Amino acid sequence: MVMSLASLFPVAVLEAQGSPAWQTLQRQDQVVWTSMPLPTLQDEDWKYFDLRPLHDVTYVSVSDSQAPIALRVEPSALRLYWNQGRLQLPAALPDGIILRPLAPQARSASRLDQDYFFRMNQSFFPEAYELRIQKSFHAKDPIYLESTLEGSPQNMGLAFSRLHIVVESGVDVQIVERFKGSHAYHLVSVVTLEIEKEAQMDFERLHYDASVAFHFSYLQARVGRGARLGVRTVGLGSRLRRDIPDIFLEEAASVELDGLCLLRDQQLGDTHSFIHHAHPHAQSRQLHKCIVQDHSKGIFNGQILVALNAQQTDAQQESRNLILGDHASIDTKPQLEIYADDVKCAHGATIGQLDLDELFYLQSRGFSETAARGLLTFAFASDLLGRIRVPVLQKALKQEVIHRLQMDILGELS
Amino acid sequence: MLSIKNLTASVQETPVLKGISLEIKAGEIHAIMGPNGSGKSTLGKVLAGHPAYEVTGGEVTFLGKNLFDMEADERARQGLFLGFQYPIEVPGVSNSQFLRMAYNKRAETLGHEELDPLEFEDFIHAKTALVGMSDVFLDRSVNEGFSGGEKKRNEILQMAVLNPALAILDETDSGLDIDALRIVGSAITQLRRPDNATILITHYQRLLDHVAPDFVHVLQAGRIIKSGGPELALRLEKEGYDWLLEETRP
Amino acid sequence: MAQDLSALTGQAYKYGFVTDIESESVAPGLSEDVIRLISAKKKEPEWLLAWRLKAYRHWLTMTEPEWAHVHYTKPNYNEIVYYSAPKPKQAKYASMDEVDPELLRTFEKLGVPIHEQSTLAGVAVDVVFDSVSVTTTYKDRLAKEGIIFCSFSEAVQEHPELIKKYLGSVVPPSDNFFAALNSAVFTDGSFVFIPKGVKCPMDLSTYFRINNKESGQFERTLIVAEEGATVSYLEGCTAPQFDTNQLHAAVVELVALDRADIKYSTVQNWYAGDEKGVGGIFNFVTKRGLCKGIKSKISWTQVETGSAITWKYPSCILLGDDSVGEFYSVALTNHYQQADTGTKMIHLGRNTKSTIISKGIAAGKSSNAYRGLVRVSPKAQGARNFSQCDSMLIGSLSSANTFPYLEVKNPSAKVEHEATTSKIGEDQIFYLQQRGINPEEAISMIINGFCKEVFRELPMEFAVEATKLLSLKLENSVG
Repeated sequence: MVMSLASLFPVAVLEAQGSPAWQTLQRQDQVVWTSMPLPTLQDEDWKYFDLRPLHDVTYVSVSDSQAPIALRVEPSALRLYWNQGRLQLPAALPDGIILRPLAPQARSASRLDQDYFFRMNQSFFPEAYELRIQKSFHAKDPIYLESTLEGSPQNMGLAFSRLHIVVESGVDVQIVERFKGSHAYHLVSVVTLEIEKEAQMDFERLHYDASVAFHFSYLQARVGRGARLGVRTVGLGSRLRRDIPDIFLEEAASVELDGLCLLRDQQLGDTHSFIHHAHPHAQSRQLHKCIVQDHSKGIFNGQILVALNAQQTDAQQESRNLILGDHASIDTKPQLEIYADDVKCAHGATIGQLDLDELFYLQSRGFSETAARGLLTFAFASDLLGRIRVPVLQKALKQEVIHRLQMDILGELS
Repeated sequence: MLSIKNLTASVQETPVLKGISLEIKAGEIHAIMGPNGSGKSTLGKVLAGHPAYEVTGGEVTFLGKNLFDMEADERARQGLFLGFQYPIEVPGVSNSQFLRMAYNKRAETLGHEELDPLEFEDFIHAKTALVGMSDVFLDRSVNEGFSGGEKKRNEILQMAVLNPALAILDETDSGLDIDALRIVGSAITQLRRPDNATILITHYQRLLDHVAPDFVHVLQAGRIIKSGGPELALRLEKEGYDWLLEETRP
Repeated sequence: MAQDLSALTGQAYKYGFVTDIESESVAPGLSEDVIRLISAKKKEPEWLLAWRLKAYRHWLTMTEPEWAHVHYTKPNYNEIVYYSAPKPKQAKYASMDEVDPELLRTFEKLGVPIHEQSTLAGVAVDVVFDSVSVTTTYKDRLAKEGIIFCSFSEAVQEHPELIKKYLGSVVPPSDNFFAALNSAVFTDGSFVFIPKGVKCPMDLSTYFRINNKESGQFERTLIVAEEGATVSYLEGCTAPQFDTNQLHAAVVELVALDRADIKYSTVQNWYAGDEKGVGGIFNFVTKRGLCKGIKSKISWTQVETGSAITWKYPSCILLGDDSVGEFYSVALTNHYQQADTGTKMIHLGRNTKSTIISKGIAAGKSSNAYRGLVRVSPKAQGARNFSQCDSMLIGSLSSANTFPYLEVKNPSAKVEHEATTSKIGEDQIFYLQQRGINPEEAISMIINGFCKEVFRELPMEFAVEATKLLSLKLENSVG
């Protein structure tokens, strides 16, 4: 039985790649990481996520840049490009935007340190940048972070990415992260966010992965006093996907953490979230929706921790799951851990199918069964899509979702 | 019935009542009005014994006893009733259970007979009609799922059941539509007797159209700045509070 | 409010006395010899001894489970007394006159209806003292209907074929650490058998009492309801106040055949340890019901207020088509108690349905966790589940955790889960006070309102006891 991923990788793949300043720190992380065992189904945090597909692949390093795949975007918006995990430094930046290499510093301990893949990213990311948004930045369009990754045509390209975003006090910014991947890759990406006090950030994350890819995406955020963070993540396409949002809330902070997962074929999509109400008066709202077809498997593990002094916490979490395929399955484990007493916490989870009455109603109004199913399934997803703050993005995403659903439903009937 | 002498009270170290003196005799209806933040609701809560408020000075006697010597529940059993501005929900406890228990507590204090569930059912049937509520409300949990107006009418129902010596109604009229207002006003008037008294805490004149007060007092910044008869309320309705604040400016 | 809540006077655990009686015990420690001794004392047939030994050997290979939210010093299994029975004047009590009067006085004090003429007449009671059954009331009356209700040991003697058929069929010894231990060393418990079509005319009840300081309590209960049979069974328990921890590792197996209905209710009031967290029972119980037949139904209703550590997950395996599983629970923890409790509903057959209503109340410095599993297997067409798990925190030092696991592998399943957390608000207490209700009663009222949906499911005899028990348990160290 394979215990460590390191033993699978050819040495060349895992050479520390960062800047010399980072390499020292990375070597320390590597020492720790190589002694960590690869999680198995016996580990509580990986109870539903079968990592055995990782054992069957041959890992290679991801080669350097091919031509980036262009993505259509607002002409006036600020766009930053990453390709193969490396930033293409723009010629000029607008006022109030600072983009510079992330200064290496010993990380403060975090609960993700015990996470195998987070540690792995810390050990091997090739470069890390800091994107800082200051009060003098004015834009009516969001900032676009575009990244593309081309994996290996025959083997499994191992790739890492690392970005640190700071939203300074009082700033209100919208950021769109779009990722597109092709061929076969295993990407472990880490984005850390520091939202300073009274700041606001809306973060729309769209990941279009390749169908044979593995994508583990970490988002570690600290929401400052009185600040607000809204995150909407839509992950489409990968064979194995795990989203790990880890949110720390300061006093009177608020977070909306929403996610949509559409899975088909043999895909596995897992959202493993952790919201820490460490201080009083914070608010969290989490909505996670998952649609599974064919033989796919959707997993949701949403943990909310309310610390002893976090009085007046207001936390609500919903996990809504729609099973469309005979062989599809859902595992959901919402978790509430509460140590303060003057709090309002609730979570709800539902797993079900399309409502027969609703289907019949549409059919009685002339919709074919296929169309009715498609429409209702889309309706299930659409309220979440409706929360995306960028109108043109919302529209494009809705098209994408319709496209993916219709295709499959038609496919099932033929 | 109730004698308040120089009452001062604070909430979280901030003074809210800064020297209130008031005499309420049996058979009287007093209205207490005032702009927002004047301390009207606080007065009601302090008299009822709300834990968030601290009495910092003054004396209050209720039915000849020192009010502050008694815990909140003891004051209630002695016949002091507070109709809440925001009535609280108590899930899982039915209205009828709750009312019967409260009734029996009061009965015990007065030396009257307690009622068993069947007897109580008859008793309460007469009362629900007074506030225009159907018996269906009795099986529901206390205030759970009630609209604002229904909650307020439930407060008056409780008043009718408990027959207090002194009822303090805190903004009972807020959130009520015309019909509900009429029902509530009429109920309060019907419950009036020579041996009980009522304090109506209200921001607007409209409730006073349905319940004629004997005395009207205006509270501002924790003090009573004017007292008068019902015509005072009418004038406030027409002209607002400004003229009064001008007049009483120190 | 803090002063209101903390001003409530304490109520000592009134069952904390020890009965002075001559007991026959085996020296502490566990080995094959001890098991042989237990089996010999009970004159068990060879096959049962073999079954025990197999379980013991398997236990030796197992490791004690670790749960993140429960912390305790593991018992030393070699310091536990595995057999301690009140010394009878002869092998079996022919009538109540032969029972040690001290023992009878104990049960009177505990309010256990050991005489058929007592106030709780109409409930048949099997009384187990330190793991040995003392007596069973109403046996003859029940026997007329073909109902067997007796101690487990007696059932082994009188109805070995039934025991052999069903023992371990729901909880095999290999199932878990404590089940294996229990299978090796169980001394007694209750056996209930309701034949085809018979609706048991009275509630059946077993009363467990741990008296010996060092003994562990390992009961084994087996209830079988044949086609169309129904039975309602009540389990009550208390233990004296010792400053060491005692182990209670019981196994309860329920089997419901076609259209049978078993209702199993527990009001548990083990000694919870004192205000400083010293002493108390470790309650590790495996309870499982097998809805074997079509349209069979098993419901678990429990009110847990005692024990220092509680680790139990009464479960239902919904094998028969159209079978129904229910779980209603109130778990109250106070002082330093820790509870990690919940249920498992395993949907295997078609059109199965399960309902879970769990109410956790955590006061003092206690920790109260709900851990539930709803699993719908791939072939379980049309499964339906509804779960509601609510927690109430009293005071700021307690904690409540909810860990529901929902695993669905069939597309036609409908699963709904909701959980909320609330506290007893200062405003709520004031509102009730303003209606003349004193703070203790106010809290009691609110808690009862909170637990209403569960109390409704308890048989009447228990409902009253449960309500009183909750108020009693909360009347201490709140705030």
